[in-house]
Amino acid sequence: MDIIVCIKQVPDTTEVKINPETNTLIREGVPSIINPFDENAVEAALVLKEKHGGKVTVITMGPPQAAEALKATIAMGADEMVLVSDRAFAGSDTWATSYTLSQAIKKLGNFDLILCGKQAIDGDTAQVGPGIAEWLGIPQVTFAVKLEADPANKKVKVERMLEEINEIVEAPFPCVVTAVKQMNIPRLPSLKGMMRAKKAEVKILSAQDIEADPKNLGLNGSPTSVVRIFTPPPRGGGEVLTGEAGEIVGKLIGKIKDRKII
Amino acid sequence: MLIKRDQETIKGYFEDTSSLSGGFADAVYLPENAQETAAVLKEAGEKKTPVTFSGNGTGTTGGRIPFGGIVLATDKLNRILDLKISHDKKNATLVTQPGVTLEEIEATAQKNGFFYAPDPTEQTAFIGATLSTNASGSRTFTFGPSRHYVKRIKVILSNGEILDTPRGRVFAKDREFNFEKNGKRYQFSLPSYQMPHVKHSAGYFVEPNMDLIDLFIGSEGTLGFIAEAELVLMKKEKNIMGLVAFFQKEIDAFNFAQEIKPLKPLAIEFFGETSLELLRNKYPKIPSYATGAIFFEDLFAPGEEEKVLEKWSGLLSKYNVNLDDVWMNESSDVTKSFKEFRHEMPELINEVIKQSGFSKISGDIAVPDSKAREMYQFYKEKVAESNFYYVLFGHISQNHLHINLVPKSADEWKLAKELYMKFIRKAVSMGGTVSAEHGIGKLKKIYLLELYGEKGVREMAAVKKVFDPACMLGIDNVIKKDMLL
Ligand SMILES: Cc1cc2nc3c(=O)[nH]c(=O)nc-3n(C[C@H](O)[C@H](O)[C@H](O)COP(=O)(O)OP(=O)(O)OC[C@H]3O[C@@H](n4cnc5c(N)ncnc54)[C@H](O)[C@@H]3O)c2cc1C
Ligand SMILES: Cc1cc2nc3c(=O)[nH]c(=O)nc-3n(C[C@H](O)[C@H](O)[C@H](O)COP(=O)(O)OP(=O)(O)OC[C@H]3O[C@@H](n4cnc5c(N)ncnc54)[C@H](O)[C@@H]3O)c2cc1C
Repeated sequence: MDIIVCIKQVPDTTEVKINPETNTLIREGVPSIINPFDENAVEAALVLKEKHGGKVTVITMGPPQAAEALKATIAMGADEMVLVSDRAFAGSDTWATSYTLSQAIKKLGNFDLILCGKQAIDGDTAQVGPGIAEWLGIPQVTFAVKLEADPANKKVKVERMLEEINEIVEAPFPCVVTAVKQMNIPRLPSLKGMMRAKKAEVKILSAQDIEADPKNLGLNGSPTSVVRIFTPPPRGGGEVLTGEAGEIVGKLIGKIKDRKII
Repeated sequence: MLIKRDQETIKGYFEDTSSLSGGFADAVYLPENAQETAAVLKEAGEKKTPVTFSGNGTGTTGGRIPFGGIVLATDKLNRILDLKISHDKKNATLVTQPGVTLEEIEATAQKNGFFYAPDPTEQTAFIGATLSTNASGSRTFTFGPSRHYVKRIKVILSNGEILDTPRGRVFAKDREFNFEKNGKRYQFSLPSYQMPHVKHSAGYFVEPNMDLIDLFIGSEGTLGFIAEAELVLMKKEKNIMGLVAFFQKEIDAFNFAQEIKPLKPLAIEFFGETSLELLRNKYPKIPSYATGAIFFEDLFAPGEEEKVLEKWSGLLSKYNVNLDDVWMNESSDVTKSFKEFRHEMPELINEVIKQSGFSKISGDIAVPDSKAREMYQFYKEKVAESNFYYVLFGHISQNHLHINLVPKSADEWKLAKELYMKFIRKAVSMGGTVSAEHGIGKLKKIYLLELYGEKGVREMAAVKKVFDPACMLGIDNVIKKDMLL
């Protein structure tokens, strides 16, 4: 099976701080990580490769330093890496991002499956995976929690995690599947993989390489624009009851009664 | 100052992570600064009320558990007071109250480009308590125990007097201390014993010409209360890699550790067969063939990484380790590594022991390098003979494996106790220690007697009485109560 995994390098939001004056993210000094859902996608691809053979190619659109994220997936066991990088891509929204990635994927030749994360932890739109499927005109199966492939019959069987129920669907090769966190536990990089990653070469594709239509690229190719980013005002502080345990319980029950809850 | 007397609310202070039960006290005092603390001690001193100091209760030896009197808890002495960074930004010290967690110390150091080198596994422990037990961790192999990073402490004695004790000021002459503090003369002899030449945290630190500060560090709340400490931080300069290698044969893991010791990696930790069985519950990716594992960490300068990877892969290959199964991570942040993996181990064992319904019989023994193999074989032979379920893991870099015996019946529990005493005697006979990092507390006093004999413990009692003449502090910690009479 030939599998393409799309990954995004994101700031480690567990370490992100908000500048209280401007209400914007302080990005300086915040380490970058692979979008966690994308690690699940990589893991799913590696499991399929172990079972059915084939090749896992990891692709990202981003600045040159995103190569680090790609290398980390080689250390996990991926085979090849592609960095789609060009100044022309700056300011892409989800439309432009998915267009750019789909153009790059077309250049990579035949594939059976594209795996994405469900969503990126910074942009959070969950649109890029489906966007790629639309641009390529192939089926998409989102929110995958289980994934089996049947290369002989050229199809996948996917269990989708929906809000109330899980749904099992089949889709023919080639298609896009997006992974949720519950799908698996991503493996750690291995020593062998780490050594391979040091030596591995990143294939870089520019706007020209992917024969992209400039009007679909970057800021100009992006139909949406971010008007303002702000932190919602903090909710009013709760009331803290103090005293010895017995006393607090009494006060609390009083409050609940006051509100006619009991 | 908050004083809690309601028994329901304070009973948490009558426990730690040991199985010692039956603790009791009249009240828990929660002072917020050194003055309040001194006042509590002074009043207790006048009324002859025993005082037990409490950290965050992660101790394993019952040290903080009171048997009467009051508890002096550090929960509200929880502020970092100062961070001093040198002009060239190369050196820093951090001044802190005792109730700050290691986690917070680490976070503050890190934010400023430094780290606190001692790395006891349990990050929720309070700094004051870790100095009182001279805590250490896997990186003690390279960095040494807590005491190496203490520049100054403020100790409050049982009469409320505050002893400001900087390092490098007051020394013993051979084994005699003779100095003046706050207008009062202190003159006393140190115990005559020799400490074992291994990682060690059992009984008072004693060495000819020693620094006074080292007497208080590791004294487990029996000499005075650590009210403030100035810690030395280290600069984050090198990158770190952490590796977990799995071996088909446990003995290969042991042998690999011995081989790499002279190469001085930052830390080397051992996981025996039963440890891996437990860990598989949380880490299903542990290879099924593995019966032993080594976790090790190495520092490297940016640029020399490939060379370092080559070195380790060469060595691991000699032991037939599958390099595809060697987990690794790298970071420019020394504090990040496989800490969780390592930390799971004692927690998993504690769960197993809780389920067994018997109290834990677990070791903190360390032996000299030359005896590492003999001790390992002795553990393996003895548990095999008596068919015990046991778990062996830990700081193999310093020949400090934690052996945990998990009995299945009351009879087995008794046998396990006896067996453990055999381990202690074996270690002592080889020049080892009965406690390398957790301290003696209330539970390991009989082992301290094995190490230093009654004479040694009585000599410690004499030192205690210099600072705590009425014997009110940390009673029954380290020194048996009746040996204070
Ligand atoms: C007007 C506008 C301007 C913007 N300008 C910038 C800007 O200048 N710089 C900037 O960083 N962002 C910018 N963004 C944000 C950018 O649109 C999104 O980060 C990007 O489109 C991905 O969307 P998302 O983060 O919501 O990903 P999601 O759709 O939530 O991601 C789902 C999955 O798609 C895949 N995926 C997502 N992005 C990539 C990628 N780049 N490469 C490979 N796979 C990917 C991953 O598998 C991921 O798990 C801008 C957005 C707008 C609307
Ligand atoms: C999962 C786990 C892993 C552990 N790993 C390690 C390890 O790697 N290395 C290690 O060394 N230990 C380890 N320990 C043991 C424990 O964390 C240490 O002994 C630690 O020092 C206890 O800190 P605490 O705040 O919980 O103290 P407590 O248990 O509350 O008290 C410990 C002792 O310190 C005394 N004390 C507390 N505060 C003061 C003070 N201000 N002045 C004087 N005396 C005081 C108490 O009286 C008591 O004797 C581990 C424990 C657990 C549960």
